[in-house]
Amino acid sequence: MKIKHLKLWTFLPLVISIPAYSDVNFNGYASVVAGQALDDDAIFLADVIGGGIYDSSLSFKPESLFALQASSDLMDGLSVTAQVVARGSNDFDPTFEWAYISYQLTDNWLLQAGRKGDVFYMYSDFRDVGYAYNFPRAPRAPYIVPFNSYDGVNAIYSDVVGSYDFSINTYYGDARAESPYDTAIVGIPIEIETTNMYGMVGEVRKDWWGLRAGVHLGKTNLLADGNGIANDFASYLYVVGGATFDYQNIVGSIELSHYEDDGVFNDTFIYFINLGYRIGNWIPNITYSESDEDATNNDIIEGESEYSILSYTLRYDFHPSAAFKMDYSKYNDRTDSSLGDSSIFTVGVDLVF
Amino acid sequence: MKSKKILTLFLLMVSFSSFAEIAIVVHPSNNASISAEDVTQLFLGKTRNFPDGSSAVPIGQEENTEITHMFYERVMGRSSQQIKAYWSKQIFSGKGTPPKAASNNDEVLKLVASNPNLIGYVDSSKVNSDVKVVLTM
Repeated sequence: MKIKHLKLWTFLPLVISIPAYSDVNFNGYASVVAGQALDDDAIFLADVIGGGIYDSSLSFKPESLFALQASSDLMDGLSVTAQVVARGSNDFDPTFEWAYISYQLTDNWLLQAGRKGDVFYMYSDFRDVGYAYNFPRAPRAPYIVPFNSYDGVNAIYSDVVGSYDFSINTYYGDARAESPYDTAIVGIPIEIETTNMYGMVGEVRKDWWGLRAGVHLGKTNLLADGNGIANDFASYLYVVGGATFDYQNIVGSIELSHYEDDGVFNDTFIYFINLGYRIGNWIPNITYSESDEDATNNDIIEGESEYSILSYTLRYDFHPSAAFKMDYSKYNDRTDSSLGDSSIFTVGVDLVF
Repeated sequence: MKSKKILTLFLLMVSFSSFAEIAIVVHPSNNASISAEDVTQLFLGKTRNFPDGSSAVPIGQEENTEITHMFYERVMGRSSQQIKAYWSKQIFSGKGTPPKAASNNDEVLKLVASNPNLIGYVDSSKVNSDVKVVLTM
């Protein structure tokens, strides 16, 4: 699926030549973010998918990205969508991260198949669209899962009952991706492979609030340099709950997740909470996220991964399609892992087009 | 200086009064009774039908216009930024696409008058007899 050596501007003539009445719709999002770790020798993992890491020198690469989505309505409920993402952490190499077909079977049933965003958590399938949320980046806890997509099928049932609208998404598939977090700790490429993954996510929404609950099961395998090293397709189970609200001028979200497998990561509890206050076009907000992992000691993945991150962020919507964000985040490592404590300062712009 | 202030005030009043009200319009043959909540759910892509069960297709107007901002705020009870953030989430997670947008009031009126499934919003002072107003806000 990955197209290397094909730069983003290859797609520009395509965009320009599409007439306004065409059935192909182009949408995109981008983030341009500059930042650096504030302590010498400290590193901070910011882009979990691409492995974007800030160090003590100022860089635009770890979190900047450009994405273009093309979607074509083939009529009678059938549509095709592809999303190309060029991440600074990956030298802006454009990659087809998503490509799937959708079929609106009835007013209530939407079927999708192909490579599509994972739905483990509330922000998973739009975690790169910085414009869509107030925090600087999807909180690493719980958004540490290195998949941005899975290959498979899903069915979404949605309906409105009175003033409540709800949806239930059921999926099945598999995924494999390098885990930049583990790679950074261990020093050799660590991959996570997941097979027979399936689960169900339910959402209920009314006016100013929304609730979400999910259960995810499957088998997971840990590879180093391409060889299985741990877990050996151990069964895992995620139970996830979350809420979002936007009442008067108070905005926020909270998400809790419990993960367990019968391999090395026995028991992990992760949560985050974000709270902000809207003052005109400004939204100052705070995010706290924490991970408490109880892992069985393993030759390669040592000890536990226990940390917390506190972010102070200021969002300013200076344009109808763009938001400016300034952020200070402090990472507190509670173990003696090679990552250590760190803090970063970032300034950036998130836009959609 | 004083006269300039008065002029500015006058112009402000004119520009407000020019969009005094938003009219939700449908085809004259459409007999569904439609509330602001129904309109909101249609324009957020939550429902695809009028309350009477017939198929509904919302048609918007261009994004950064006064009428659209007013429609979002008065009828949907949300700011333009909230709507934009909502659609960025829906579009890029593959859950939906925003309603197609007409370029002005006249185009909305023309489209709605020719299609019983359409529902749109226009400046209430522009409404003509080819459409039916179901809600004014």
